[in-house]
Amino acid sequence: MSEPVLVLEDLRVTYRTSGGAVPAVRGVSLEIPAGGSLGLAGESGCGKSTIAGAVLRLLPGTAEVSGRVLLAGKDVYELKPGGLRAVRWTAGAIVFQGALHALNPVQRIGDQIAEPMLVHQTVSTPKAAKTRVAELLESVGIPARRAAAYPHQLSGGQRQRVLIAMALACDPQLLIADEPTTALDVMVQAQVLELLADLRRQRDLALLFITHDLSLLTTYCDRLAIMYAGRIVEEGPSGDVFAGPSHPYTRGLAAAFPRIGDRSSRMAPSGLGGDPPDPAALPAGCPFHPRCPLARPECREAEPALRISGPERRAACILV
Amino acid sequence: MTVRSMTRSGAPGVSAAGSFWRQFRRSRQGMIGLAILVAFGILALVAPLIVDPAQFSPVVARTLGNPQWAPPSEFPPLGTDHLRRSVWAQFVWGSRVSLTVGLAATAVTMVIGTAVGVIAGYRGGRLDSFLMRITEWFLVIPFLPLAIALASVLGRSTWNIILVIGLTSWPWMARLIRSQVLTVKQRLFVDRARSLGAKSGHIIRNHILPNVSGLILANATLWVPISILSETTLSFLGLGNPGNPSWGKTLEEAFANGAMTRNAWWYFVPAGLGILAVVLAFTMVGRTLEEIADPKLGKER
Amino acid sequence: MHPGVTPLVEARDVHVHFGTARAVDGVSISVMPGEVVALVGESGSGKTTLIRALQGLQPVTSGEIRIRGAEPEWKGRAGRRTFHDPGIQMVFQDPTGALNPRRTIYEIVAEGLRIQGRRDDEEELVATAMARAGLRPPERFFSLYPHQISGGQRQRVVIAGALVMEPSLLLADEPVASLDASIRGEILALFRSLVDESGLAVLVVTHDLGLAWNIADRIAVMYLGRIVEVGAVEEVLAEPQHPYTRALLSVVPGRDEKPQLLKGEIPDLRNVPSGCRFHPRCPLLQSGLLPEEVAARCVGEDPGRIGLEETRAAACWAVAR
Repeated sequence: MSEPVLVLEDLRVTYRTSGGAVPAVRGVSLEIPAGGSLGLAGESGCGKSTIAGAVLRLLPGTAEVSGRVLLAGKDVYELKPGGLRAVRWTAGAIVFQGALHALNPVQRIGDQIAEPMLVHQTVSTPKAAKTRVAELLESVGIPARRAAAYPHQLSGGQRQRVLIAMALACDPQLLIADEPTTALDVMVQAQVLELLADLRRQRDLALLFITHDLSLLTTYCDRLAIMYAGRIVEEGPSGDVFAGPSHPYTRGLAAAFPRIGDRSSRMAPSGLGGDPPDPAALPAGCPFHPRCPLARPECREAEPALRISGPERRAACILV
Repeated sequence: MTVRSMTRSGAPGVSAAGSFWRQFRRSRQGMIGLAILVAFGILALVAPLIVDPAQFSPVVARTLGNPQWAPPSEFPPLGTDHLRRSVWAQFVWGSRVSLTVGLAATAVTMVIGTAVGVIAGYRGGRLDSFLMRITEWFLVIPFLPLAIALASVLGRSTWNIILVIGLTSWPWMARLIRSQVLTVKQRLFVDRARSLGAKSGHIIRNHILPNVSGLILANATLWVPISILSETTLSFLGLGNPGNPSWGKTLEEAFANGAMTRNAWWYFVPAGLGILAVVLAFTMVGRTLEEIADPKLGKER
Repeated sequence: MHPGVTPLVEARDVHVHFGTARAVDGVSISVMPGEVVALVGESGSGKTTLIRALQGLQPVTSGEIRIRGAEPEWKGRAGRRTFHDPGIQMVFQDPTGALNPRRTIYEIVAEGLRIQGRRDDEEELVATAMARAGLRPPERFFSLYPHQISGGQRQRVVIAGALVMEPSLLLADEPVASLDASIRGEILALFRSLVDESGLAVLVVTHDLGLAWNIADRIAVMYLGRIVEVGAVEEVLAEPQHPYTRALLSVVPGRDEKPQLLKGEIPDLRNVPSGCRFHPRCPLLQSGLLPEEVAARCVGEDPGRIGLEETRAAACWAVAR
């Protein structure tokens, strides 16, 4: 098997704040093979977006990172600034949430897409860049002549497509999509996600898809990792995990997305009780135990490690 | 809005005022400014106990037997002027006049500016356009000619100076408040109040004003030094009340009577430093308040 | 539909136009006591404008609104008439934005009472409403500020602020869209239990068909200012008739069917297509499988509005009415 495009080894991220150290990511290890896709799900504050930033070393200065991040075989945190720039965009590129804020409102979208290519010199002349921009726009379903448009002249869905085109500009091996469709309507969301799926097939692109919407991940990712309080609590092939969760947290999260037509969820919305924990003050033992319907006295004592829960599956729960 | 300050003011039950003071105390420039202001405030308050304003009359000064143009060494603590009056007495009294004018003129500015800004921003539509046209009309009139014209029509008194400064500076305030009201008006909690059947008065009192009050307070503090400087300017141009010497008036008389050429530095330096210190102190406090009211400013700095 | 029962709210052929934009273009809808109706559509479908009109905040261009069978008490001049009925209360999408950061939870929940000038039994009413909304014990929350409670609790505060007015109808605009997935279920369960226990009715605006499946009795699907399909939730979601409903259902994640992607996005409200307003994006029409005379009607003739009396209908030429 070829070398994995992304490896995280015991990644830990702690934010220094005026109120003390807040651990956002507490030891996450994962791997995405070339062309593979991993969905990272969890509630707000579970650390999933911090991981996206940590992979490309985009976190603010108050974040302390330890562990290893190997992107296309290179340790991102050992790289010199020049090497780091090369790895961003060319090895891994990120598609941000909130397309309106991620685009410069006073620059034509064509120029914005061309920018990383000229910076990284993946094209030699502005003319070549223009041709490439036209190709990219067409590939994300926007007519090439729209390159001259400004962001406000595009709809929300089109702006999200432009961001995808930007991310693809330097032919990365890995695309990191952080809530790429949250602000979009259902139909537009489906269009954008189908586009991403097509692009992945055509370009053999690996994908790290981060969202709170577990149901999206089962459709668009091969594997699924569920995060809670800065750790992965369950991972495995996405269909299996969604259909038969091992961890009680995954079960609660999956139940929040009802299957239309399933009689058991009709007139019976379900979810977890309680609120996500405060990263600055995690409960002792398994951090999920205060909300866990199956919690036992032992759960208060030690935080369980990930263990095998099925074929290619792991979960961090003493009941597994 | 105040995400940063809010998440920091941790424990439940903390009152808004308490957390505000705690943030203020953390700022060094704010505390230094506040200390200076408190000192001058006390000086202004006790001025009538230290100084008898009767001695500003040249006749009284002469009967007291003061020397003329005496340096501080001859007539402590700050010497005398061309009319034999004590410079120290003028300095102490001047702090009272300058602070009064600064605060009162700012109050006039704030009241008119807030009223116009809130009504224009909240109501919108034609009333907004109308009020904004008036505001712009006041804005494009140059300050000095208008102030001089008004002062000469109204007469030379401290209250007229206050009125003149207030009347010429409210448009800035009105525009600032209006823009803030426009943002707050869009917030969902205003919509919620309206859906609960709230009338405009309720929404302005309970939702608009509390959310622009921080800005009003911060700007008021920043506006006091401007008013003090305007007072100085107007007094320096000879429009102040001669019987009620402010720092600006002192500077004007010193200048008019050749204190500079005589090298009588003790006549103008105290008033000049007084203005500088108060203006600086208000600005320091104002900036601090502004940063607390709008945490985004702090981040950019 | 429910003979003998007066609807809590009834809209008959309501239009709301903003200049040339027809945000609501002839909509009839009613909500009965004790039922949850889901109004489903994408942004630009006019669903938010419609519920603002039902609440009295948005003046209607034409059409009739009845509250408990009677004309509401209109205020203001013709063309800009609004009304306020304390029996209809609103729950907002973004609870963080809906709560004034400078007011305590108690003041926020009590605000409606204070506006109405009711002060005597205020504390008791506030505590009861907060307990009904699941904030227990209520006293623990009284002096807190919105930033000191969690997102789910904030939405409960918004709901308590509505319940304190003892409404018969809640209008909820995407009430869980900005909440974490795990909290979504709790809030929806709260709505359903309020309806089941006290006969409250809820009109919930959402883009989420799963939400409709979770709590709604009836569903109305809106597209470009019109309701294009109505019916009981089981019927509409099991056998959608309108091609737009079918497409919406097909893109719900985790379904076995292949997603039926519509081309482009909702057209501009100022340029409503002629004929059936859905025809430029209609997969059924584009498939070429429709008989020629039906296809001609799709392009040239408006399929019309769904009336108040129709319990199961789709505004589509390809579907027999």
